[in-house]
Amino acid sequence: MTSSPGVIAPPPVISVTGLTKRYRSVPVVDDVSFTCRPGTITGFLGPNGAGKSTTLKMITGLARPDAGEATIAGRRFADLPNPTRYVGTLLDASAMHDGRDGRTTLRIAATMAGVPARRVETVLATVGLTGAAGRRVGTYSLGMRQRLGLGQALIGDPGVLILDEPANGLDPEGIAQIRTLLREFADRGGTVLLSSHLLAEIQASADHLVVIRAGRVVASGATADLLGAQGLLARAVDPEALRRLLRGAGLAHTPGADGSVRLPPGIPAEQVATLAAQAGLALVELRPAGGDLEELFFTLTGTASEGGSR
Amino acid sequence: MTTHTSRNLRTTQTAAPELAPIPFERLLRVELLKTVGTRAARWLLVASVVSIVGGLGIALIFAHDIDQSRTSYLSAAALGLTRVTPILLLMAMTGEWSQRTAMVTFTQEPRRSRVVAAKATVGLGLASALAVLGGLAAQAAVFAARAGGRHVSAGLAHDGPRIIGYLLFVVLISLVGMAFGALVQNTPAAIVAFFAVGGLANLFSIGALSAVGDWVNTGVTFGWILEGKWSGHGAQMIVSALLWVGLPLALGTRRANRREIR
Repeated sequence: MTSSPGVIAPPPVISVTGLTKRYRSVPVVDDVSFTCRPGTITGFLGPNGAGKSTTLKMITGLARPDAGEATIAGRRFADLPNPTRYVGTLLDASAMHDGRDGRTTLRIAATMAGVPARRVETVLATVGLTGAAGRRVGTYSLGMRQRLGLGQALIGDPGVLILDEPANGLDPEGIAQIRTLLREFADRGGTVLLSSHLLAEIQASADHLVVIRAGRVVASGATADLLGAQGLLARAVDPEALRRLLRGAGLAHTPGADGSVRLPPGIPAEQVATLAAQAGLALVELRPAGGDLEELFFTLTGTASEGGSR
Repeated sequence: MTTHTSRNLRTTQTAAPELAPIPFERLLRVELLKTVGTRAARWLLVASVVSIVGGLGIALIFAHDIDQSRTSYLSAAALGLTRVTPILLLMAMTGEWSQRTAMVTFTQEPRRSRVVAAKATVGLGLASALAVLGGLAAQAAVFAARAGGRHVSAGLAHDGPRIIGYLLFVVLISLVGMAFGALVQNTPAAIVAFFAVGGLANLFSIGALSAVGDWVNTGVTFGWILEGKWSGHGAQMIVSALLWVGLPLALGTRRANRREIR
């Protein structure tokens, strides 16, 4: 095999085509397709049980798809000669040997990847575990396991990261650190695919979103487009007065159950604010709608994600 | 997660990643690190030494009940050792599944049978090393007994097959434990299966069943190995070894290759 500089190219790096997985003939992942390009962070978003982990396990060769295919840099994961040099994975932070200390865990990963042993200390510092490296993993909190798992993913100096709920169990400081780390990774040309069940957790860092629900992709695209497509949410001290005002101005809107009002995309917030100011109406909220996954699902599909009838 | 180290994070972004497959030698180093790098494994290694010392101690102390010969000292070391080494190797095989590290290991090396082969090779080496250690300890015990004025019968010409038999016995019993670990892929279940199946095989010593037992009952066939009774039993020993080591190891490798990791 000959190699040329920048072998990770050409884009897209991660390519998922029609992935399908059934358990006892019930599809848990149903015809899922998306791509991830270098220099971007892709958020894989969906409620618990939507099929995110199963999809990531099929991408990384741990589960066999019933249909479809996933490739990384043009190859199936299992065909990568030394996978951790291409793809760093963190699929389950609890999947670590409790009886090993953190440093040994990373030493094993470094040896496997064939990188110098000194990289262990570098990565320990990067994920903030230098002080706890001598302790058994069994004594680690979930947040520390996430950090160690991230260290395992980074040890082979890969160009691709695949992370399943990496923010799970991390404190706000840890979440901010991981966000910075992933942004820098992507800015250097890396490709990141990370899953979450919380929109708020990844909407700030993900360039693209792939939204999955009950095994199917319900939306995918640039984060700004998906979230911007949700229009505005406005709330006034006097909800009736606000609705009268909007009707008078000829602006389409739908009232929410909590007294707020939703406006369709395309209406600038400035226009609403000016209207309210001229009418002497006090607004308590005026922001892009879609603050959480529930609202996003609602606007994308018109149904609630859980508990609703189908 | 400090930003000042992030410069070192990805130094080869534009360089071509290593394209060579992971060499088997590296898998061996990793598996050795894993086998001895856990608290449980370190205790089992300590227990191996204790079991050797314990077995030999009994042979030394109860001089009137135990035949004072090199072979009985070797047997004492073997009986002690084989309480522990099969479990050590078994746990090396089941650890990936019981501790769920399979998820990490098989993303590091997706060719899973290579990982199993590396574990088996390391297990074989470890069992051999411990068997040699036990043999040396048995020899030391013989010297100690003689120094105490006891007569211990030992002659290399006569004992040669017994020494080889002792080494083979320890290694084979250890490998049976390993093969059960490879097949069952769950620590407590594999330990139970290892002892239960051994007990069941012993049933083949009753009456007419012993004709079968002479081929499948490791209590008999590996006993011949330990006692150096090679002649006329070669085929039976080989069949036993294939049945209790080769077959479960092969089935276990196939199972590891196919198993989905949740």
